[in-house]
Amino acid sequence: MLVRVEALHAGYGSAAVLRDVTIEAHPGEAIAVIGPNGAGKTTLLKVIAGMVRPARGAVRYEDRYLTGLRAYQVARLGLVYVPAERELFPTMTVLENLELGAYRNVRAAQLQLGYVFGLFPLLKERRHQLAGTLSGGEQQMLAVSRALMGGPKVLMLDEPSTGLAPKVVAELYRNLSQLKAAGLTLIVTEQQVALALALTDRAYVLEQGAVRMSGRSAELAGNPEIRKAYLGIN
Amino acid sequence: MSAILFDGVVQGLQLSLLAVGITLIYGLGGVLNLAHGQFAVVGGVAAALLLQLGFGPVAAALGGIASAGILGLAVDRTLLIPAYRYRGEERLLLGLILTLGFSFIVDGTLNWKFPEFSLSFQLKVPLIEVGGIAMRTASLAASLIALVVFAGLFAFLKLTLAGKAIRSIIENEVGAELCGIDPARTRTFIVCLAAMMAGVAGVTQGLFSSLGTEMGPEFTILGLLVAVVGGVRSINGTLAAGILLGIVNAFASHYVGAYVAYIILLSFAMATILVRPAGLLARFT
Repeated sequence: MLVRVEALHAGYGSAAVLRDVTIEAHPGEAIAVIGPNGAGKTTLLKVIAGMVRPARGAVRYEDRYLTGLRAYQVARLGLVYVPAERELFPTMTVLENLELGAYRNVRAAQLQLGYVFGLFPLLKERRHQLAGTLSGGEQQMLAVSRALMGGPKVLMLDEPSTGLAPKVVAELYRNLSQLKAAGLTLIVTEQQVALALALTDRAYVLEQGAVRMSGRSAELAGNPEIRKAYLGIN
Repeated sequence: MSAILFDGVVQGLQLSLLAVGITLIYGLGGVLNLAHGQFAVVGGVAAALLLQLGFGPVAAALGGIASAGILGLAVDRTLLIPAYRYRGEERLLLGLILTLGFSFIVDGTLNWKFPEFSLSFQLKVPLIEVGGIAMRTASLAASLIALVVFAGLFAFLKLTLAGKAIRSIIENEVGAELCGIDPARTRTFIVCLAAMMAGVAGVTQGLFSSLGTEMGPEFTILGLLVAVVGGVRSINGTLAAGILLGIVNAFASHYVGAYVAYIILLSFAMATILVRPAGLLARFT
């Protein structure tokens, strides 16, 4: 087991957002967390990333608990989060953004840079451009690339398709399946359920802060309830 | 005319040294340091004490700068800890009160321990003539030191990974943390660095003029005004604003007197806030 979220409860103030959530990811596995808006998907990723403190429960990663670690410490362990907002450095160049992604692993930076540019050749062309001047799709690619620069073991993506044109989304998911094929563990939340289920091995359905269903992605994609609620197929 | 201009530039560069520190601490730590001028004075006083103990001018100057840095480190690791527990406006407000209180303590202590004290290196200061202006070499040296410090700072922020990490936190703290950058440690480093730059300003003040223990509040206020005019996120802007306000101050002091000069400088800052809301105001809201 690489990542295991155990009986997690979390909330902001008195409002519970997550109730008794348990999910896990094996090494090299791709996991989808799907569900309607406000189901707690983002909060779940933020708890794993150390950005939100859980009220109860714990996150286990490799052979340790992450309890009490700050976000930068979690990132240094190789558990890297790409938020929906991307959180880039807009007035710094593409290259500088990538260098900072390798902040905790400077020695591997050159190697990773070659890998990332191979995956996203467009970023190589634009490496001296300011990140803020990139298109939405390019910014998402930069956010993923920045996360890859430190050589993560687990990549967590929150709604990577947000605000992107369908063609760009398709391209991004092709890149993600390349990363999966290379053995990277992925945890993805997504509104575009069909895409997420096609990419991943297993999926969890989060509704009102609780896991309502889980199973193999391919099976969930064939489940009549899921098809009706999330895929718009009767 | 040109002599006043030259004086303005010299004084302006010192103000820039102070203001850039204020800008960096604010941009990175979210604290507006009202004891920043006191860092400069403590650096100068330490240098003067080292001179009295028989150290050479260079050693005394470096010792003074280091003392300011140590004071900055101590302030970050002790006094500001309660402020760092909060975020945004609460941190800003608590930071204002804590640093203001600390500035009173420093001023009081210095006045009590070292009354009628001043730092002056009293080196031989020959005049040289450049382009028809008689310049004191001490003033030139002070300006040169400030420019070297700025060049070093720019190179550090632009070229080194640590410098880029500092810029990344100023730009987007969440993004920086996701890259594995520790904001608290970087903040401590910046407070220390900013205090040392203030120390340079204090020590060089003693080089081209003299530094009194009562000058802390004046340094803080002038530094704040420059930081406001420069735009509190922009280091280049702060350097330019320092030189500009230094020149304005020199001319105003010469023609209408020091008090009116203050009013003119304040009006300058207010006009900047009104015309360029991307400056200090933008980050308050």
